[in-house]
Parts: sequence; C-alpha cells; structure tokens
Amino acid sequence: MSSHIQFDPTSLAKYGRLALVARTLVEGFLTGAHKSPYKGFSVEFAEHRQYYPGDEIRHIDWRAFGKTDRYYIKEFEEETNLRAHLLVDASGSMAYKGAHHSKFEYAQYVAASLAYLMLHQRDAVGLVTHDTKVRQIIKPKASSKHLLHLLRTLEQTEPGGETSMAPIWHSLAGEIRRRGLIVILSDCFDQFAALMRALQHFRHERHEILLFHVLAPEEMEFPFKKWTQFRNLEVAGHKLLVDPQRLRKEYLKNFQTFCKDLRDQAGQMQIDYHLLRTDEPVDRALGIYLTRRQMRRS
Amino acid sequence: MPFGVLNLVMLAGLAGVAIPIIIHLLNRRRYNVVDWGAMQFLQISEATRRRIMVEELLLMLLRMGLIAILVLALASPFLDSQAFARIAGGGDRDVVLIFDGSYSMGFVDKGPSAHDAAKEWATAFVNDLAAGDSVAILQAKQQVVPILGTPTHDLERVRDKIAHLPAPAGGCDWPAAVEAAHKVLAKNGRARRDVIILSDNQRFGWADDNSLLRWELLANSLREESEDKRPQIWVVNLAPDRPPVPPNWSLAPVRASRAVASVGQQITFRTALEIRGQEEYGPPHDLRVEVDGNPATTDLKAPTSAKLEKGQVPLSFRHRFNTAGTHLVSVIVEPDPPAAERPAGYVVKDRLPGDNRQEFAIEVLPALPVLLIDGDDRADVKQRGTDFLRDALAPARDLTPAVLVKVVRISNFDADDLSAPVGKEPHTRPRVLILSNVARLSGAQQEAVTNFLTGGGGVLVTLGERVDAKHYNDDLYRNGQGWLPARLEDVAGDEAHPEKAVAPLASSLFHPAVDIFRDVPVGGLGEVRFPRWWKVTTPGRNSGSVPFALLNSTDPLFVEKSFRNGRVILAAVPLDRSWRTNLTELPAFVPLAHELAYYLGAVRAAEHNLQPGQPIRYRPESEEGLDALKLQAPEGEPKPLRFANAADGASYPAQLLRQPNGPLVVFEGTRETGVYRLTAGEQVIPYAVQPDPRESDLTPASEEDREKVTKQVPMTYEDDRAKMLDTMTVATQRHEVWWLLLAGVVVLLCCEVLMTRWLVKNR
Repeated sequence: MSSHIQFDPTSLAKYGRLALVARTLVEGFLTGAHKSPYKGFSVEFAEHRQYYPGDEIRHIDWRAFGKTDRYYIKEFEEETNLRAHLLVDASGSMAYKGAHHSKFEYAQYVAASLAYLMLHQRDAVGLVTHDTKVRQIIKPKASSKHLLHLLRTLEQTEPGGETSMAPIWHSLAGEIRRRGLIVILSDCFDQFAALMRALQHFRHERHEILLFHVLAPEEMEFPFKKWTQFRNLEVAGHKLLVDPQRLRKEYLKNFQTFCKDLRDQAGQMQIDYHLLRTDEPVDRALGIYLTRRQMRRS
Repeated sequence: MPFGVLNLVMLAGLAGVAIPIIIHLLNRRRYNVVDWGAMQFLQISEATRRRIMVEELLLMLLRMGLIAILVLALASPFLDSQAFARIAGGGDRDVVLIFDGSYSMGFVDKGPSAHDAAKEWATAFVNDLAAGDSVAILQAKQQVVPILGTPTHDLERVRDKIAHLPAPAGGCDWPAAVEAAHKVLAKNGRARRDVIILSDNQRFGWADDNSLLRWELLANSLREESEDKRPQIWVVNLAPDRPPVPPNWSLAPVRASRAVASVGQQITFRTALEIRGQEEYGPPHDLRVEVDGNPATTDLKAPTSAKLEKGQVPLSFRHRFNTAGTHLVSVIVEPDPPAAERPAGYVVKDRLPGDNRQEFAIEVLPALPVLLIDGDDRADVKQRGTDFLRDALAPARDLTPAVLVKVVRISNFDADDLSAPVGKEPHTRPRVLILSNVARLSGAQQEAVTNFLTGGGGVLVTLGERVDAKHYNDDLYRNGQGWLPARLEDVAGDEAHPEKAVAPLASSLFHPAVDIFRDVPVGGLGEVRFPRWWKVTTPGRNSGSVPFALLNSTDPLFVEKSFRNGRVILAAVPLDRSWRTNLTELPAFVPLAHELAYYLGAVRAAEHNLQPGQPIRYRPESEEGLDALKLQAPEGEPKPLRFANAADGASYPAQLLRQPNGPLVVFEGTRETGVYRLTAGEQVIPYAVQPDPRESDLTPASEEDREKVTKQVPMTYEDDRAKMLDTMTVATQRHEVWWLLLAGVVVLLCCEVLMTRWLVKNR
C-alpha cells in the first residue's frame, strides 16, 4: 500500500470495502502519526506476584518456580476493560452529500476505523445503527472475528427516513446497562431539548460519551448562490425553493446557534464533543479517540 | 391637464416592464436542486419571511418602475398645461408676429376684415403663451414698422400693442419684413424661435416677380446663418375664403402736368379708375377732389358709361391754385352708397376701401425764381442774347409773371447770387440757373454751380459762339464725371446757308419738358430751324446723360443729366437770335422757355411725393424757428421735430444739415403711407407718401406661388387659422417632460443601486 493514499479516505473509498479502509487508516495513522502501540507492548503479561492460597494454579509460572523455587503467579492485563458502543446515525439527513463524501459515508469510515482500532486494543466494540428506529444492535465483543460482523453491518446500512433521535437514544440508554463508552456519530439534527435529555439519559447511566458531530462544510458555510430547491432528505415531498443568498444570514445564525448550544450543553454534561467536517481526514477522529484513551489511562 | 407622447411607437417598450418579472420567474424555474438535511435551519421566522418578501417586491417594483419611466421618457411625453409651464420655469421661445400692414388687409366681405381677424388671432395666441415666452411685433408695410422691435416678456404690453395696431395702409414688402424678423431673433439665443406671418395670402408683395427676386436675395443672405439658428416660419392665411378676383375699385396714382406750378396757372391732373372683379362699368356713387382737405371745384366727373380698357377708366381734371405754397390734391372715389342708402339687392362694387383715395402734393410758387447768367460780358450792349430768354420767361409788361428772372453778367456771377433772393421776397432763392452762352466759369463759379446742384437746383446751359469747348470739356464735362451732360465736339452748320439748317425731330419729343410740342403742327418746335449748332456727344447709355429732342442731323438738341440732387439740361443752341435761327420768332419759344424752366424748377417737387422710406426734406429760409417745427404722421398727433439724438415718444427725430444754399431738415421715418404734414410757423407743408397701387390687385397666391417662395425661404402655410392656433397653442403649452422622467430614472437607479447594496450587505 503506497503511503500517499494512507490518509485519503476519498481515494480509499473507491475500494469500497470498509475493512480495507479501516485497517489502512488505523495502521497508517498509528505508524505515521504516533509511536506504534505494538512495539514492546505485551497484552498478555503484566507482572509476577507471590502465590497466595486460593489463586488459580494454572496461573503459576512454572518456569519461575524452576529457577527460584518459589511460586509466582503470572498476572495479565485485563484485555477487555472497555466496552464501547458505536452509535451511527443513519437518518436521512446524514445522506447529505456535498462536494465530499456524504456525512453517513464519513460516519461509516470513522466507525469502521474506530472499531478496528478498538478491537486491536482488545476493547469490546458494539454497533447500533438507527434512523427512525433502531436498525441493528450488535453487542460489544472483543474478538477479532467480531470486526467483520461490524463492518458488514455498517456496509449494509443505508441512510434514510426521518430521524427523531431522542426517543431512540432514550431506549438505547435503557438497553445498554453495562457502563461503557458511547461513541455517537451523528449530525444531531433533531429537537435540541429532547436530544439533550437523551444525552443526559446516557450520562445518567454513567456512560462516557464521545459525540462526533458530523457536518458537511456546505451545511456550515451555506455557499449556495443560485435559486435552489432544498429537498428534505428525511421527509419525502418536503421541499423549499428559495434564494439562498437572501436566507444565508438567517440560516447561518440559526445553525451556529444550534452548534454552539450543542457544544455548550455537551460540555456541561461532560460529554466529549468533537466537530467532524466531511472534508477533513477521517484519522482526525482516531487521533481524538486515542488522545482521549491516553488521557483516560493516565 | 392633457398629456400624450410624441413617439407613440416607443410605448411598445412598456412591455419591457415585464422583464424583472420574467427574470424572477426564470430564476425560479432555473434553480438547482439540493437534497438537504439541515432543513430545520431553513425554517426562517415569519417576520423575516415577510421582510424578505417586501424587500423583493420593492426591488422588483423599483426595477419595473425604472424600465417604465425610461420607456416613457424615450417616447417624448408632453403635458399640455400652462400651469405646468409656469412650474417648469416658463416658456422658452421667441416669437415674432408679423402683421400684414398693407391696405388689402382691410378687405371686408363677410365677417371681420383680415386685419381684425389677425388681431383676434394674435391676441388668442398671446393669451396662450407661457410666461417666459417673449414676443416681438412687426408690421410689414413698404417699410417694416417695428411695433415692438425687441422681444418682450411683458405679454400685457404685447396685447396692448396688438389692440392698438395701426390700421392697414400702403403696400407691403414681405422679404424685408422676414429679414427684419430674422434680425430681431438673431439677437437672442433661445432655442425655439418662431416667425408667424399673419397675412391675407395676397400674391402681390408675396410672390410677384419682384418679390420672388427679393426672396431669393434674402435666401442667399440667410444661407450664411447656421441651420439651427434659423427660426421656423409659419404663414397664417386670414382670408382663406376671399374670392380670387373680388370686386374692388381703386384709383391710379395722380399725375400732374407740372410738378411745380405758379399761382393762377392751370394744371392738368390725371388719374384713372381701376376696376377689378367686374365686367362692366357703372358710375360710382361719388367722385370728388379735395385740395388741402377742402372740397374743390374742378371739372372732374366720372363718365356715366365707359368701356373698360384693361380694367381702367381714365380721369383727368384741371385746377388753378390761387395761393402759393404746397397744396395737397386728394382724389376720392366712393363706388358704393353708404350701407343705409343701398337699395335691396344692391351688388357691392368695392370691398376694399383702402385704395379709394389718392394724394398728390404740388408746390405752387408765386413765381419761379430764375437766375440768368449772361455770357456776354460787355457792359454797353443794347441788345443782349439773354433778353430773349428773360422776356420769354418774364415779360416786362406782365405784372404777375410766372417766372421771376434776375440777369447777372458772368463777370459778376458768384456764389451769393445763388443763395440770395431773386426778388424782394425772402423765399425767392433761385430754383433754376441758366448759363446763357457763357464762355467759361471761374473756379469759384464752378463750385457755386456744383453746390447749387447738390442742393437740388436745376441748371440750363445754352451753347453759343462764345463757349470755350476745351474749358467745358475739361472742367465741366470731365469725361462724364462732371455735371455737364455732354461733350462738346465742334460747331456744325453754317449760318450763311440757312437752307442747310437742321430742325428738331418731332418724333423725338418724348420728354416732360417738350412733350407739349409733340402734337403742335403750326408754330411748334418742328418749324424751328437751326443753321448752326453745337455737335455734342454723350458718353454712353450708362452715363446718366439722356439726349432728348434730337435734331434731324441726329445730333441731340437737348441732353439731360441728373447730378447729385439737381438736374442739368444742355441745349446745343444758344436759345437766342444768334446763328440766324428762327426760334425766337416762333410762338413755341415762350412755352419752350417756360417748360424748360419749370421742368428744371420741379426737381424738388419730387420731394413732396415720396415712396415709403424716402426722407422728407424741408428747406427753411434760415435756422430760426426750427425748434417750432412740428410733424404730423398719417395716423397721429403733431409732434415736434428734435434734432438731438435723444428722441422720445413725444417727438420725432430729425437731422439738420447745413448746406451752402441754406439749411436742410431731413426726417427719415416715413414708414407709413399717407400724408405727413410739416408745420413751419403758419405754413403747413404736406408730403404725400404714396402706397404701391399694385396692392389693389387682390389676386391670392396660388399653391405654385407659395412653393416658389418656400423653395427660397422654407415656411409652413396654414389656411385654417383655428387649426393653426391649435397647433401653435399646443406647441406653446406643450412641454416635453422627458427630462423630468429622466431625472426620475436617475433617482430610481440610485434607489435601486442603494437597495441592492444594502441587501447584499445584509446577506
């Protein structure tokens, strides 16, 4: 794999398959941007300790006994201490595609990359896709075979339908009992108050939330000049013919208010809020995730 | 406030108003389609939506209005409103109204005369003018009369001048009037300039041969003016219904057998009735003669029946004047009885009263003062050559001779003799100088004669034995430049051979001074024999010297020449008994001497019968009492003459010239036809300014005539005066308002730009 496409999700997308995209992205990211986590890293062995009665005999290090004549217990790191759920919003609004990938495609790459990375780190990763209702729930597992299942599910999901995320998230908050990390990939285009209540519900369940607010640059800048018919991606038949130049000011004001409120509210709820633009490389999300992991460990 | 547009086709451009709507609709049709997620942020507030809609609507209306107003401006809209004209800052044009001042305008048939119609039309026209318009008024006569010589904005004054316009009289010089109007307008630089001619469409004065030539000359001078400076000329015909040859009686100008008469002398006056528009002659209601305004008893009588020859019935009458002075002879014809006395069914013979009167001023002298210079310088001579002439002119036994003669020998002759009275009376300065067989004139004498001629004197030169031909040719003839009419060659004939004598040719006696001899078979000039005579030659046809009364040798007997204001007759014979002629023995001698003397004495008589524009010349005895001179114009009160430059409405400007023969008063303002009366002390001197008799020919100008004039000077004719008034009124009140709309376009354009900028700024 040549290096020049390692950070370019657009060209990689031509290959279609998320597995390849995810692996390339993660390994490229880890080898290029940071020190490799694989070097000198032992996922199995952590330390020896003295045997105490009651310890499992199979954990006794016989080789150490041979050398030292003492019983030492070989201790291992807990491999699956993180249970992460990837919540990918597959609602109609995520299908918006400007000059770059659609937001949903972008969310797919991010989700796939994160799943790949997490599974490599022996974290358990689950996946929830939803539009008006929950489409798929895959419970978190840490096995490497689980990755293919996740990726296939992601690949098969198409965005569509009207979203009212708040009730779904409410129900998910009730379903995901074991606390863990909830990674949300969504444009959050919903009733703001209800959305906040749903996030609050997650937080109430003591989940950590990493909110990736996925937005297209067109949505943020509204660069349209000509008369434009905006067709609602979520409600069929709902369209609006306007002179975008006349609306731009009002639109940007509404939009920026929404983003600011979302960021502020997320901050107040100790939710990690990150804005992802679809014209940015996907590995930025990986960087955010890893940084967060590091911070958490330390 | 009626309004309209001059360029109706342009209004089709109003369809362009739809352009902003079409662009809007096209924009709405050619939209991009975007599948959009963030719909919730496009849901703008109702207030914003309303504001945007209002802004859009305003902008569209602004653009539509912009196009509409631009199209309207291009269509040259106008408003017919005097009120608007005042608001818009008044009128912008100069108008010169030229009234036809000729007496043909007084023609009355049905309704008012053309003159009254012209006044009515002009008043209506002035009433409709805008406040800022200016008007000048000219009256076209034989001399242009400036009623209002410079354009004035004071329309009240204009109306007053129109109301008090002088009655029509005399002829009309249209090209001069139009030229004067051009000059009036040339002084002002206003954009719109109109000359409105108010006439009766008479052919004479407008399109006769002489007038056409004048138009051509005018056109040549106008060509130097630039195209845009030329005013538009409108011709309003105020007598469109006048028949081509309407019934009209007029009198031909009066002619007298002598221009200067002596007291008691019988004078024959000739005139004629000119009858137009009638096949047969019927005697007029009244035909009379007035002398100095009083009825005179003469033998004038209209024939009871006559055959019309070229429309004329000749008239003649005789009259003797019993008092000296200048007398005014008026011949008046009244073809029709007064309207009240006319029987039922009476057919009116004359519709134009202005030409039913003719005036003639004749100077009557107690005796014609003649200075006779005797060329025979010998003192002790019993019988002198001049005795014959002296006795012929003023017989010694005649107590009241027709001629007052003073004989002076050539050696005694000087300038004082020509300015001193001949008789005892102060007003007997010589009118005629006879140089009888004078050998030569000294330098001072030559100068005196020249001055005498300059002052309007008459000189008779008789040639005889003594005459020094070389001196005459070198000093007096001067190759045609001097006052002597002919060059002296040599003496012809031989008195020893009377059988070879020459005689005057009866057929050559066509001259006022000798025409009485034309039909005199016995004792007339035809019987005169001249054994010797001076052979004289004239320089040519254009020299001004005219031989009359030829001898049968084809040599001239008399040669006449006008020199300055005077006149000279050269006789090729001595007019005495020398050279064995039988002249003095014949009855013809006395009349010949009288005719020649009175003919030469009448040089100044022409000063009493003038054409319009010719100056009045008055020769007072001295400069005393000149301040008391008063002049009465045909229409008006007597006003004093003022010789200073500052003339006002209460006086007439005149000039005082000091000439060697005495002072001369000149008044140049004889624009009106009719009688001017100069009052000098107790003496009233009439001056008849005579109209052009052709003005009585009321033949209207045909379309062809009009075209001929228009070809020279472009103008627009209108026979319908009401329509013309509408045209001119609409043109007067009509104000193009494109500039106003254009200002609106600029304002709307600014609004549009500002609004668009504001909208863009607020995006």
